[in-house]
Amino acid sequence: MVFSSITFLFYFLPAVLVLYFLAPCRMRNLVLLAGSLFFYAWGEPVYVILMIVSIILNYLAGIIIYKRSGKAFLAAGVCVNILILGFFKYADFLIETVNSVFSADFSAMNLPLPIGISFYTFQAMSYLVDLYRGDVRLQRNIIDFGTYIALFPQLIAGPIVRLKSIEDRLHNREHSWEMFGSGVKRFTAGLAKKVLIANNMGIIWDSVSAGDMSSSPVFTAWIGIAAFTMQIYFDFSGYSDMAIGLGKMFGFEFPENFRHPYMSVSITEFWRRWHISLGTWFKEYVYVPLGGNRKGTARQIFNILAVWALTGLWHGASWNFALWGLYFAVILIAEKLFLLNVLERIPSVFSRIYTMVIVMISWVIFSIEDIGGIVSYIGAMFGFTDGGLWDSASVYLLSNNLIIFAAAVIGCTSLPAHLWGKLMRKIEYKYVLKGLAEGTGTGLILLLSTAFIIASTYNPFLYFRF
Amino acid sequence: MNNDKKKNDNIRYIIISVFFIVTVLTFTVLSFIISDSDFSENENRKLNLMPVPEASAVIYGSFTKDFEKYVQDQFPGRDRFMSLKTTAELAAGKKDNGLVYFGADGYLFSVDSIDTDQLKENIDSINTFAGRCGADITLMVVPTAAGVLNEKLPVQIPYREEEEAFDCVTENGKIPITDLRKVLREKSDEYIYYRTDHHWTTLGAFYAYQYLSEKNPQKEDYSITEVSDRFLGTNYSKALMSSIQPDSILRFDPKDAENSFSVEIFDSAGKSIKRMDSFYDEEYLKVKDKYSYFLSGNNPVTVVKKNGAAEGEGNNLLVVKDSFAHCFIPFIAEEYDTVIAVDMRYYRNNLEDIMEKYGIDRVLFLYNIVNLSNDTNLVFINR
Repeated sequence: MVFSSITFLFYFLPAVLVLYFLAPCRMRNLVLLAGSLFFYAWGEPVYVILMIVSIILNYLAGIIIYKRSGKAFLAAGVCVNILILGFFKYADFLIETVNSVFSADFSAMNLPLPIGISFYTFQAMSYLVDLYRGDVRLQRNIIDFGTYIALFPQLIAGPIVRLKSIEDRLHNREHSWEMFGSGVKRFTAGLAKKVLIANNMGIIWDSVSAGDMSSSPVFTAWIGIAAFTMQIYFDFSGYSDMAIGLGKMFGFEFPENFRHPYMSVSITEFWRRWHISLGTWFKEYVYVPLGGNRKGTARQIFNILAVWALTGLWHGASWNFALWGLYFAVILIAEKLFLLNVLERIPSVFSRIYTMVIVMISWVIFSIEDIGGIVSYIGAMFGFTDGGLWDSASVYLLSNNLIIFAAAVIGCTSLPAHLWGKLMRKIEYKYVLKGLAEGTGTGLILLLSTAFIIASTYNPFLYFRF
Repeated sequence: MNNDKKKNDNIRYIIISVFFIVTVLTFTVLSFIISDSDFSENENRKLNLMPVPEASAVIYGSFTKDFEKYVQDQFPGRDRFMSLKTTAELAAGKKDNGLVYFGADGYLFSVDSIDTDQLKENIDSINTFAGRCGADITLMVVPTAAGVLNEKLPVQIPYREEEEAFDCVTENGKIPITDLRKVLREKSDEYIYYRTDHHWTTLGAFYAYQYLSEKNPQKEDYSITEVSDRFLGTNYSKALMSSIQPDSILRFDPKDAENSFSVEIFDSAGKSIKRMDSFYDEEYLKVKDKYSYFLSGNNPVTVVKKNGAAEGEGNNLLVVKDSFAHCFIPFIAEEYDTVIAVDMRYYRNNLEDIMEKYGIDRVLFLYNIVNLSNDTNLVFINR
């Protein structure tokens, strides 16, 4: 089930909220767990068993690691998670790679990817490691532990929540109107980002990327990748906002996942602002254990390459994602060695342009699976095309979407939040007015988003067009 | 003081929460109260109903998918939400919504695509047919509203694609071709295309008839009646704008009406399914699909007979057509004893049977350029 659907907004969410707040406090995690399993089973009726097995295995692994405190038990626990993830996400990728390298002919298993598996296995592994390190307590209640692993707000698209950051709230939550109301605001903002901006940007990207890039004008290629750049940010950060908002409604405080990444002045900074929970995970559980920057420059460069190849592959089982990760590794290494010094000295407008161009090229690698397609797309962006600089179609493409592009560009800066905060401070003591303004805004955005969700299912059947 | 502030701030968050909860629950409750409907007139399709939760459907996930389709289709105020989306798109300066272009003067133009390969195949099929059957053949191609009223378009791209398609027709066609672009463009300041539908108006069809006919008919020869002023066509269904002027449908009757006609409709197997004593089916004026007023809409075979003419004799015309012919046939019928209209999308039998049965020596292919380039059934004329 996705958040931006009629089923979630008008049936699942109200039902879970009602059951949750009617239930006595000690039953609330059970309601959340049951709701989360239902939520998962809705899209993956069979794989919900995998999720339950994963909860039980990690629960038991936790007990063993705690009682025996041996590194071997931790390694075994982590391996089980990696095996689960590897089997369901990477097996076919490995088979295909082996087939093409050795001209072998192993048949692919064609298993559908269990939704959210990359997120919940990463959460489970972080629990085992943190437990071993003594950073979290042993989870003795399997209902509470299951709630942490399966919690529906962050189940399908993150953030990757470490138990450390919500441990107290998992066992003891206080609810307030302020928590709930600010959760509502955050959720609605995320919904609008996903439905009103990301989806429309997706339509532009789909139409551009479906074309033949060898005859696409330069301008069209840039509009296309600019649209994808906006689509992925508003989609992903919108989902995180919805997750954080839903978390608040149920009394949780999830960590922030995006902090205006497109305002960065270097790639190093970009990755401190983009998908923060994933970057933190790899830093804490891979980069630092490998030695980080403490074992000399050569070792650090190796560590960066290793972490980024893995980060790339985490995003999808395909070579373009590995390439995408390594592309960032190379730039991050260059920035560490000398580029950051340069970037700090030049006017920030140039370092912002540098960052965005690097990021936009990275999205080409990210979004196109075959290497030939990537090369011809980047080629078109830099003039290696028969399409010239622009044509009337590319001008129309921009003018038809100018306002929504402008809204997206402004929306990915901190300006809207800044202005809204300023406005709210002006009416600081007019609480009712504030509530009415934000309440009306929330209601209207919800209705408008619903209109776009409904419209995407609106299919005039065209036999009568003849 | 601090406590007081917190308490007051609480009011703000209570209001926000209540607004959210009320908005959501209103629609949840409405969806339970309002009974499901099984047909959408605007979309002209059956709506999904509540799926049956059979065990296998639940386990393999088809139940949940069907359930999502069901709640989307039955959502309260579905059409109004669609029109809210169009309003928002217009406010955001959008010039199309992917299905229609928002043109000037209240015109909606459908977003069409031309399939050049299919177009060439179809022209070849007509060439082959012409070489084979020995009748006198004409191909009349109707441009789209976008191709004629191109100055009302927000962008010239569809118009240019259409020009290329017409070039393809003239280059490949080995039969006499009646290209209506020039005739209709000369009248582009008149009401020759519907604003909310992809068809031409009766007036547009009249100008085509005037151009084709050797009898030099004039508008003054007809008494013109408005049969509906609330026609909202296919392009409206793709945008559902709240502020739109409905179209009016006109009917042209010759002032010196000497002839009366009967219309009989047959299915593909040749079985009679409907009889009318006029070109017009009044029933359709009561429903959304008002263009089907002409000749009762899309049917496999429609036989228009001048009363008093004998079957198999006299001057008979075969029209192989799409729906653009429906408001055109009443004009041309005056010149023939019998007009047989065949729609290849629904007719699955041999055309020669019909030609023999009615003694046809003239054939008119009447197609809109978009249908001519996308129809995959034209190949069956050589069956």
